[in-house]
Amino acid sequence: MSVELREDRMTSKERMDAFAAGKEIDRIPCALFLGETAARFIGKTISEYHHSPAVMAEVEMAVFRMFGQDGAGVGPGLFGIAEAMGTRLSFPDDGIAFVAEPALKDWSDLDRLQPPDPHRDGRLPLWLEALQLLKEKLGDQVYVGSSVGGPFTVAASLRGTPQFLRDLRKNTELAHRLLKLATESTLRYIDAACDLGMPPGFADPIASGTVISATQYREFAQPYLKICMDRVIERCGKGTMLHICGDSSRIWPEMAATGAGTLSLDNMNDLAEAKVAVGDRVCLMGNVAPVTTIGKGKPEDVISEARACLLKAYDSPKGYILAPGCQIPFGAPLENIQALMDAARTYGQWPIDPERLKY
Amino acid sequence: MAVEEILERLTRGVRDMDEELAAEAAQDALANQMPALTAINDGLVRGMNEAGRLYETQEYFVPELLLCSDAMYAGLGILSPHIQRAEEESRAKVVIGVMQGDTHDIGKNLVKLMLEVDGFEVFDLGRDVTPADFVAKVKETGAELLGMSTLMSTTMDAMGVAIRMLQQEGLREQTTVMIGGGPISQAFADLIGADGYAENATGAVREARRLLASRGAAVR
Repeated sequence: MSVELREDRMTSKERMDAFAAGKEIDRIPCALFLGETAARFIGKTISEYHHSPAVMAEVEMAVFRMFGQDGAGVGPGLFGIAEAMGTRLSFPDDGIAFVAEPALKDWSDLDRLQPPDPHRDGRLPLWLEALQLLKEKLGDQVYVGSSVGGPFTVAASLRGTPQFLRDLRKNTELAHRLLKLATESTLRYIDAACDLGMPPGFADPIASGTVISATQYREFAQPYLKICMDRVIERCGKGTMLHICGDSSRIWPEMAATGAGTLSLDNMNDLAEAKVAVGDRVCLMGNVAPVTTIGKGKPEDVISEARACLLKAYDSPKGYILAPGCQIPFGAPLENIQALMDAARTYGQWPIDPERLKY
Repeated sequence: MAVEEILERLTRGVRDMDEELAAEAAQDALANQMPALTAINDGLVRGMNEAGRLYETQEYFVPELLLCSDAMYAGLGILSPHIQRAEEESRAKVVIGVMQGDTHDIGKNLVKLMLEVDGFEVFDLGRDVTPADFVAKVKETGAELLGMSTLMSTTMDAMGVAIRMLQQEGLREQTTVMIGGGPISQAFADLIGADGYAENATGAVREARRLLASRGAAVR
């Protein structure tokens, strides 16, 4: 069945307010995880983006003008907190930043590591400034938020991931001490972002079910993330998004128990299963394949995968947000990103008719 | 000490992530005049294979495999200087590395280890390797297999570049190309014309064996 594309009739802010209140909306909310990879849209390199609040804000505004997605923001992401504590990053012009040298190569340096001052250390002040710029420019139309790594990912970025994974078994007590420090450090950024009224969501990719076991997740990752989410809830009234890469199916209940408002699922996972398992507790988000479909596929592939996602999750009890399964890769064709929004504006028109989604 | 007992301790040392036990058992193997290659293949390698099975059944995850491989290397460090060259059969050569722009090498190191314990001769170029360097190393070593890894979607296209460069150098026919890593899929392997793809380290070894056998290459 063919469906006409319909222009939005609500601002994103109106839509998300109505969505949260369980009221009628014009179309399914649709998020894009572009972040720094969108720098090219305004002719900037990724490394330029990483060092200028003005560029960060400009890129995010350009993305919002182009796509009108739900939610805008910038943040320290996976490594920003560790960087502010001494981990050295490398910034390729056209690639994602990566850890070049972790801060804690030797456990004897643990006592020298200090939680960062978000207004002074590393690039944390840059994100806070970019957030303010964004809120000024876009705040009336769309909710602006931030993003930060979960404490497990922060700890792995401080210690170096392979070493930290070994530590889970060999230096359990030290691993917990480092996680406590990572949590305290993350809380400082959470407070600074909440002071501005823009609470961060969390990505915890190193705590992936593809990397560690569910038992390890419960011992080393979930309790510390919950402390962070509790703070967000205390400061801003409700839980934000939690994204974990890879197969997270074994830890969905624990992820929901952090108090997260939304779970963002990797495309390895099945939204229909997630709906049954945790859909009554938490809003679901996902999970069009970012690399194979949005990065490498054709617009019609994006549309048909988005339809399949919608069919699985549109009736999830706590709501559903159409989104990629993870960050959209650098160089993904514009038409494919547009196709995801088009899917929300055609097949995601309210009220959603499941017949329209089937083939 | 009985041969079987030493082999069992080598296996257990690796499988149970016990670096000291693996090293101690390796010393005992040498003290008992056990051929180093026997201790490696029937002891350490068996342990790593068991660890690989535990990984496939999701009893082990990456932390456990890293510690198993540490124990494996502790034993190998003691035993490998004692391998008699005559014992060593001719082995298939593999060039392996992480693609330029990426430094995630946990997966590549696991694949390297699994290939080594399975009898391949591995030339490891490390991480952040340019397509040209991959091709140059294949040319230099005459490797039958090229394995490229990346965890990042930003660097995966360079794998296709490396394959085209192999073609330009006239090496494509004689080289089996395998790729792997987080964003990689069978579909992507087909798209860029790679011969094989595997989801994880143990799968990579099976796929390497299968591809080489189907080419009729001398495997050991």
